[in-house]
Amino acid sequence: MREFTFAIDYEQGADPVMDVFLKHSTLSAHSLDAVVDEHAFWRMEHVTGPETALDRLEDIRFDDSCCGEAITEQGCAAERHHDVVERTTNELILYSYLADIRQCESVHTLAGKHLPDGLIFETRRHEETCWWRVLMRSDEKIGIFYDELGARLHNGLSFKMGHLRDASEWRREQMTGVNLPEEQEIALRTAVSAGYYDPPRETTLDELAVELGIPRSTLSYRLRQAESKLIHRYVDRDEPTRWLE
Amino acid sequence: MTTSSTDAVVSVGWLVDRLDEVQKDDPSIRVLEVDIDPSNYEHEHIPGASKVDWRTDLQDPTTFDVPSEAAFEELLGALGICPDSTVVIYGDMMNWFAAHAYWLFTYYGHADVRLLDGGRGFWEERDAPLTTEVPEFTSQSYAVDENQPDIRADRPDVMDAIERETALVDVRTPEEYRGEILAPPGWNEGVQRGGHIPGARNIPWNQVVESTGCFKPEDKLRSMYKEHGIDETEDVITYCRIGERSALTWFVLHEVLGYEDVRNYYGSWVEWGNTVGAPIEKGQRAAIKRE
Repeated sequence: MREFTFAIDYEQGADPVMDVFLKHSTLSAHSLDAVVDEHAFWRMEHVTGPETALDRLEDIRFDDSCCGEAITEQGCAAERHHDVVERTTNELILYSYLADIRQCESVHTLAGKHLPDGLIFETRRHEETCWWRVLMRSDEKIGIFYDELGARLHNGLSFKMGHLRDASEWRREQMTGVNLPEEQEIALRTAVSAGYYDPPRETTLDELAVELGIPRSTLSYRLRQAESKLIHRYVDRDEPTRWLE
Repeated sequence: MTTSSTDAVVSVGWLVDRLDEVQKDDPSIRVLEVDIDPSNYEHEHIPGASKVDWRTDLQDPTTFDVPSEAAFEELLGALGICPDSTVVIYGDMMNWFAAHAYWLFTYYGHADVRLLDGGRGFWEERDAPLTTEVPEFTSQSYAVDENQPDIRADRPDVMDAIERETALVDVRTPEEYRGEILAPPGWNEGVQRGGHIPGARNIPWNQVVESTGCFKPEDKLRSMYKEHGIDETEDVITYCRIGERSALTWFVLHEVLGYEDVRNYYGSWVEWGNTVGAPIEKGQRAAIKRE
C-alpha cells in the first residue's frame, strides 16, 4: 500500500466550506473518504467546533448550489446526498455521497481518473488548510495525478507537497481509542470509579494508593503518564502537519 | 474558446466538419493523439486519429534527445503522413504533450501542423464523436526538407541567456520553481538540485489556458506576458522539467502571439539541475508576483 500526502491552502472566498474554517479557528474536521469510481465518492466527516460554525457547515453542505468539492474552476454537476449521522452543540458527523459527477473536478475525481480503484482518503481541515492522505494499491500514475492537481488548482488555492512512500501506519487511535499499559489502565479506572476526577474530588491520592496497595509516588506517576497520553491524543489530533513530513 | 487568429489553433467545430476527410486514406489531412497517459487512446479517441506515444515515438531513449531525423521520418511515414499533409494534434491534460509533438514537428520543419483547441478534454466535454476503431492508412515516404533548429535552446544557449537580456520563462509549478519540490512524485527523471535558472520568471504553463483547456484570448495572453515584462521584442527561452510543458508556452508565444525569437530549452530542469557548475537560484524573488 502506497500513500501520498499533500495540503491545499485556501484564501478567503475561494471555497464556501473552507471559508467557515477560516472564520472559526477552533473548528476542525477529520474525514475518511473513498472513491467509488471517477464519478462517485463517499465521505464520513467528523467536525468539532462552535455551534454556529457547525450550523453554517450543514447549511452549505445541504445547499445544492454550493459545491465545496471543486478545486478547479470547472463548474460542478453532481447528484449529492448528505445525512447527519450525529449532531450535538459542538460535534457533527456528516455522511456525504456524490454520484453521477459529470463536471466537478475535486481531489477525489482527479484521483479516480488517474489512480487505481479502491482508493482511501483521509482529510483534515483546519483554518486555511485541508490536508490529504491518499492510500492506494499502486502509485503507477501518481505523477500525472500530481501534475494535474498542481496545474489545475483555481485562483486562491495553493499546493503543498507532502510525501510519497509506503503506507506504514493506520490511525488506530482514532478508530479504537487509546491503549494504556495495564498498570496505568488499572490506576486510572480505580481513580475514576472512586471519584478522584469528579469536581470536587471524592478521594485523595493517598486513599487510592492504599486501596491499590502501591506507593503514592508510583500511583501519581502512573496517573500522570495516562493523563499525558490522553491529553496529547485530544490536543494533537488537530496537528496533521506531520502528514507532510 | 480562444479567439485566436492563428491557423495553428483549430476548433472542435473545425475538426468535426472534417471528420469524413480525416478518416480517408488520402494523406492530405491526418489527426494524431498524443497523451501524457497513452492508454487514453485505447479507451476512445477521435475518429481517424492515430496514436503517438511520447515515451517511445517522441524521444530517443539512448541519446535522451529528440528522435533522430531518420526515426522521425520513419514515424511520420508509418502514420501515413507526407510532407504536405495537414497534421492536427491533440491530447489530454490541455494538450501538454500534444504541444510538445507540435514543437517537434515544427523543429523538423513540417509545414502545416495544427493544435486542436482544448485538446481531448474539451472534445469530450462538447460530446463530439469518439470511437475505439483504430484507423489504418497506407504508409507514405517522408523526408525532412529543412529543419528549424532556431526554435530549440540547449545548455550553452541558456548560459548565454543568463549573461544577456534573454527572458527565461520557467513554466513549472511555483513549488518546483522555488526549489521546495526536488523530484515531483511519480516521475523518474531524477534531479540532484532544486530551484530555477537565475533570473527566470515563473509563469506556470497552465496560465495560458482556461479551465476548459482552451487557450485564453490573445489579448489576455499578450497582457499577461507583458505584466511579466515579456513582449514581442524579447528573446525568450521557455523551460520546464523535461521540455514538454514549456512546449505549450512556446506554442503560445511563438505560434499564437507571433513572437519571433522564442526557443524551448529541450534539456530543461533535468539537464540544468544535474549539471556541475550550472548556477541555480532558489526561493521567490520579491519582484515576482506569486501565482
